[in-house]
Amino acid sequence: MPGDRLGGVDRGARIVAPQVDLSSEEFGAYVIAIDVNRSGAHASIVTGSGEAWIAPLNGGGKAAAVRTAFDAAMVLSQVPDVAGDGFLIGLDDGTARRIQPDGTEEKFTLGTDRWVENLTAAPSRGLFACSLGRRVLVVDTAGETVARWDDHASTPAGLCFSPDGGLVAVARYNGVTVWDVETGRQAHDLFWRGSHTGVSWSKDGAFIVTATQDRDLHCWSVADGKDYRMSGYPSKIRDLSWSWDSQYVCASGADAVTAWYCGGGGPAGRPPIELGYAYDSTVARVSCHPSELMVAAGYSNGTVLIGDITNGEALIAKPSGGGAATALDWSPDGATLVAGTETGTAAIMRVEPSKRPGSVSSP
Amino acid sequence: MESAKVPATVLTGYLGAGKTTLLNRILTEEHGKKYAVIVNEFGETGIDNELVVDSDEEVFEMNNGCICCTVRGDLIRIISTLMKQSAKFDGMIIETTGLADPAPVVQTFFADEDVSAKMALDAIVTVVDAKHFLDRVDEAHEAEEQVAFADVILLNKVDLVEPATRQAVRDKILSLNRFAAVYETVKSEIDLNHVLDRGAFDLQRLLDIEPTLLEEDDHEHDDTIVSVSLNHPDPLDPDKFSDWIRALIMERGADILRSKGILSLAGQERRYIFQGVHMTIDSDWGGEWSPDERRSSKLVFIGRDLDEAELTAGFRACLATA
Repeated sequence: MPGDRLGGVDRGARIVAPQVDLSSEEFGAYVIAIDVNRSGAHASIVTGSGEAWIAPLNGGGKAAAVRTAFDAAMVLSQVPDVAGDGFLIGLDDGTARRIQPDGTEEKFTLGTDRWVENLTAAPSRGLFACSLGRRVLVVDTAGETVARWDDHASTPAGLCFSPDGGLVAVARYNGVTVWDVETGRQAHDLFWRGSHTGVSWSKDGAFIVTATQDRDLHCWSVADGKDYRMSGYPSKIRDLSWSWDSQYVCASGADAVTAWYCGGGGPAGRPPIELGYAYDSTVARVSCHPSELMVAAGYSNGTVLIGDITNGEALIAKPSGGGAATALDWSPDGATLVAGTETGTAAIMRVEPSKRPGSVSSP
Repeated sequence: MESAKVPATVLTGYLGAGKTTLLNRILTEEHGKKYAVIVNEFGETGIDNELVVDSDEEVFEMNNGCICCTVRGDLIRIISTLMKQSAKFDGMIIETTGLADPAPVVQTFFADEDVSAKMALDAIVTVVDAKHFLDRVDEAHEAEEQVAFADVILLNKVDLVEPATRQAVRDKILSLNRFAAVYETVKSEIDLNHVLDRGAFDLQRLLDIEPTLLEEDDHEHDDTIVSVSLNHPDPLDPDKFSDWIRALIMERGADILRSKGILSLAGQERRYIFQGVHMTIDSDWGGEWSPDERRSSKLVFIGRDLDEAELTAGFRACLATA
């Protein structure tokens, strides 16, 4: 039952009575992605069996979900559509599909026989970006290519738009290339040796942070190119998330969530805030709340925790089980958290704003 | 939750040596197993398999540029993706390009946590073209390295060469690597039990080190890559050995392609086993020495410009009685 077991997360996580209404169901295969659409009405769960399930968030669960299978192709990536109820899904056959809760599907051919990876969206401009091999494409909502860069130093391992959607940052070997969508020209070339496996742009546009194969974070100030290395992680950093106000960047990869303060001049000179320490588990996924200084974390034992970045208090939203957390997302209004695991559990958690961790007392 | 790791076989060899022919034999033989195949020279010969992934070999340095810590970024990405899929496979074959250095592939299986959690390197299989090997090996050091790294060598196309050439190629292979199993083949035809499920990187299966016997003074001494084997019946001092091997790997890691050892340590009833690729070392306790067994320590190094006398002296200084 939610909240009654710690599942290995203890010190640092202040245990509180269940504040979360959890419903959890089995989808039978590795949850590759779980996302809430822009309307906040549905979650889409895509799995290692090549399926997507769109489930309403207001109840009904799997029984009410609409299932789409993709011609036995591998599903590699997902992003909520730029508006409305839909989702865009990247497959291994060079196509992306837009799927809707009513089961309708549109197909976009983006290349031949290449994996469509690293899908990301710029809702304000109605654009998506993805990578196919070493190529990065920006496409509009009709699937028409508006920008294209063919030759990166390696197959991109991460992509993100700048907050206004005007630039695309590409994580690759030896750094990040930032492209201008309109002119097609390179806007920044951010160098740091080694393989960069993920990239995230702060919501105020000031910083770009990458995760590296060497288990570090690397942070650049976009304005002056000044860079920072944040190291000491015991395992790979699979996920990064910026707080809504861009004050903190949260990362997985340690036995606690690490939240680096980036207000003012950047992350230099102070250690990260750590919250949700787990003695036998590692943080695998992080997702910051869309409007409060809270972060959700999914652990390698399946626990999901919600922590308050300002005071380090945390509560268990989902107990351990179902294998490692593999995907995590908040609804746009911050009232619902969704999580998936490697054995196919998808959990929907209602989080009442009045019961956020910082405002409850321990039992 | 802990399930057996999927074995991966690395297939190397110069372009045209017969790698793809061997690969197709593996895939088409009646064994009831499903293989995922990662290829780099796609399209030359059709490969008949459901799960073939075409990939650019992306060699990445780790640890800020240490040349001994290169990994294959493409393998990490592809394996991580395949492991999320419900469609499971019994083994993986990784075909490298003819010019590839095998080290980054091998190191990927030790250095990357996602790959090592799900997969285990089984063996490096190198296909050698009997007709062209002696020319290749002089002009490209990759051909030499692929043989030096191998656990299993197919000396292929032996029907196309005179007995004298065949012997010359064999001698050359032995001078580079005395520890691999060498099979002479025609059209890469071989009992697949010699190629698959070898457990060459499984420490617990590293039961003995038996160098292929070589007539003394039969091998050439001008090769840059050599095999050196060391052994001694007296127990080693664990601390001395640890210090020596660490220093050796630190200083000579770039030149030492592979190392293996089964050690008798003073005061220990169990064997100590280790193996390494460049600076990456994997070690564990093995089975106990039985009372009627003659304990001894054996080590092998395959590498560039190794000084046998120096290694012997270093090794002997680790004896508990030294």
